[in-house]
Amino acid sequence: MSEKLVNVLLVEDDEVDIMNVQRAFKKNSITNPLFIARNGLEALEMLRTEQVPFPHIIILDINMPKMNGLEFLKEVRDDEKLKSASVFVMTTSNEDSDKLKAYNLNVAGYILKPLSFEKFISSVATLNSYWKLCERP
Amino acid sequence: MGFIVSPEDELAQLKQDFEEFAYIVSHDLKAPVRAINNLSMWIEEDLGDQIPEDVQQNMQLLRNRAMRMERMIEALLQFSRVNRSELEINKVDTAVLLQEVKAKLPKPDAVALEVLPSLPTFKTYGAKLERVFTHIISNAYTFAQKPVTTIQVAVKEEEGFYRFSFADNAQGMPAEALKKIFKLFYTVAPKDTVDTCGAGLAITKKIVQFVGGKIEAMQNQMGGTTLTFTWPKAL
Repeated sequence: MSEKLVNVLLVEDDEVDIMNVQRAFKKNSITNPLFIARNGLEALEMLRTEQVPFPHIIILDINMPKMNGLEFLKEVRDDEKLKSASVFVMTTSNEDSDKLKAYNLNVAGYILKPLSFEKFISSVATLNSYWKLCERP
Repeated sequence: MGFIVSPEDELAQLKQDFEEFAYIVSHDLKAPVRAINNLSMWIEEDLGDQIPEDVQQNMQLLRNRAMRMERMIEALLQFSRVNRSELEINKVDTAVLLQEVKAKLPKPDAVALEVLPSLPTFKTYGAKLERVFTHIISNAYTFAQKPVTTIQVAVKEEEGFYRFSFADNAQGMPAEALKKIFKLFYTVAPKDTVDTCGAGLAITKKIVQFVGGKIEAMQNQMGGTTLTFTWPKAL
């Protein structure tokens, strides 16, 4: 039985934060295909044109130019084809209002970007084992 | 017809602008600090065994300063939030609260609380009062260079207010420092020697002012510092 790797779409505008995820994937030997969008609009476009094949999960930053993470989430939930997507928010925003808005839009998790890279590696490892466990349609 | 803006409205607007400013600045400042921290890790990692010792030392210093900046940003965020967070009102037994605060310290045994009887129980902003107690007690023991810091806690009743006083036997501070300690990021000891960014008492002062109280610091007979603040009996 071959294990089907889930595709990961990272929606993030900060170059170093993108490298952060790429490095953490490498450190944890995570080989899932990683797609990158620099803002919500770009991410929507990639999803709607099926550049990111199913099954997929989305790692989403909140503070971004053009279309921020929460605006993007709302669009995703309103879209018949995309609304079932698993989305993990990964952000620096520790605001309760952001957390509440995100959970109201059915996110699978809300993770604060830690300052240290070691902590980030371990959060990504946890995420990886979590999404491996999850069954998908 | 022109707008008439009362000084009160203007003041309220200024306050709000300031808080929004502090919030935005602190949020957007966090990302580059984290990037600096990560990049320094990666440079070290990529150099592997090739890294000269002095370079490694400088990298550590760089990360240490980045972490300090992160703490300062976090403090700025807390400072900016005083007027709009932790506004729940509950019944607080101040004697119990003091023990809870002590128990949550990194080293609870490093503080001996001598609490005078008749500490009040009353309805107030519990989380705010806890923050004030925490900052005052942590401050006393962080700067004390002794195994156990003794803090005497007393309360006096005044018209409409309780006057809490915290007298420690830490090494005290020069008279000219007493007023400055409530300034944001001011520290009496160099920031390299203690693990603090000097925001605790500034946040404390802001909370005390928020509830309508006053705070001051003075030298005491034990050679330490006494912090006194008033807190309204009713809100």
